[in-house]
Amino acid sequence: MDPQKSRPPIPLDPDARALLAQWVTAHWESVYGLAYRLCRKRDEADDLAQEAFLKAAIRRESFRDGTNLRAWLLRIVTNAFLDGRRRRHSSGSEPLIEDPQTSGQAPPEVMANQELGAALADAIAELPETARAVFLLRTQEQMSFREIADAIGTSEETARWHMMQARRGLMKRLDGWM
Amino acid sequence: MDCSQAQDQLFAADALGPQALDTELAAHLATCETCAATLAKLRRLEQAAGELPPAEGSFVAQQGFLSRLQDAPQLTTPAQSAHKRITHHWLRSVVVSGPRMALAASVLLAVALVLWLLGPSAVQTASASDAIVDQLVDLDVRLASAESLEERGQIFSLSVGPLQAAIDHGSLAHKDRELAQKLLDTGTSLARNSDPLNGAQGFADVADLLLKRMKAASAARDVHTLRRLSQNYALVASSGLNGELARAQKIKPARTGKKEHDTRLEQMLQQDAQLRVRLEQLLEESPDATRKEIYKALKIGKGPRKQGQPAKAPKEVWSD
Repeated sequence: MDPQKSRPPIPLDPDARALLAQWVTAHWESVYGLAYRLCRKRDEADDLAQEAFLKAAIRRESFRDGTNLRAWLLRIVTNAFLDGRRRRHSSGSEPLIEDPQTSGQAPPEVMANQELGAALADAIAELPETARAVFLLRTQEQMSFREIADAIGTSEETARWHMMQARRGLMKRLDGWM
Repeated sequence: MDCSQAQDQLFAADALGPQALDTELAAHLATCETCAATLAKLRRLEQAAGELPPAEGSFVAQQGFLSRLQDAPQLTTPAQSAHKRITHHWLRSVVVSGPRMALAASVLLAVALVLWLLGPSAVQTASASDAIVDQLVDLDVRLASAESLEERGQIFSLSVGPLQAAIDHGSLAHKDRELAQKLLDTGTSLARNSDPLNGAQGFADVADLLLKRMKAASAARDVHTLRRLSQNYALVASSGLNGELARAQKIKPARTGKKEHDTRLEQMLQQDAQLRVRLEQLLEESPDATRKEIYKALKIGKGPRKQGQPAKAPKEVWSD
């Protein structure tokens, strides 16, 4: 991470910036955490989280008081991630991630929770992007399928289908570890 | 319901708790060990997903963004200044630009230290140690910022007497004595040798000692000491180590010495990068009350990381 990385000026007035600072203080951990799990790179997660917060501040008029701010922010960061990946895929600068395959290696029969966590984090990172986002929003953020569907811009049924794909992929990859 | 249908339902279930399962599915699970095992694995999987460790680098990134928000030019409220000594040092680098003024400042600081040490007997040893270390850090930083080797010599000769006396007679604790001596050695080297890589090595050694002390202070939850050491680290890293590295990157050595210069420079840049990694690790494991100061040290102490990407150099540009 480079705290002084050169970035463009922040196009916000002082009031919006003060509001944004409050949001960052309250919700950074969730937003950055999701960004990190989605892309597994600290620099990229930092960029993604900052982009999401700035977009939220710019669109602050569209946020309705009394609704779930955290869910709204998570929706923005998920969209930012998926949009970014789509752009890269369409430009050919990054290959599509294939469906997970089992490694073929025989893991130990009993794994400590910590080791399982590390293996799981790796396995999540290898899921297809939308399935990865759905699985994380569901298991880490406890979002409903309605909220997840909103976050990724699809129907509830499609969100459920991605969750099923994620579960199947993870179980296949972690077979023998659990 | 057969196993295939049961497995499909399990993987597609909204939730996996006992209450959430369909009655027919629950009946199948009660009689089928394979499908019951699948359910158990799915539950363990999702429990483990909910317990994944926190994302790496979150705090540093958050502070960086908040700082970016605060430092943006449109902000009307004044940005919080860095700690007073750093602010003072920066002001001094702007206002006290000439050699004479630097010398005057040096004399004043040395005299002030002597007067302070000779002051009321209520002064505690710990405070005396702190003051000596702080003054030595300031001295080394001033030496690094001097405009010529001659000026370095003048600053050093005016300051070294009181500081050496303070080390010899100041009842320094062992850990402070080691740090103070290293600072004095670095100052001596800076006063006698204009090679910025020598200066960088001295500052890197000081930074290494400071980091070890900071780690010990963090482990002991000694917030006061950790803050003070972090402030000194910021000065050593920004005005000392990074300044010398920036100067080293500007030097064009003779062809015969180029390979050795480049090798030493690369080694120093790697050492600088390692110091930053250690500081980041310390930031992650330190008590909340100290993180702000450590973060400042990390941010302010950011230096050149690769050859060909020089950090912001100090005002002076001189070489032999």
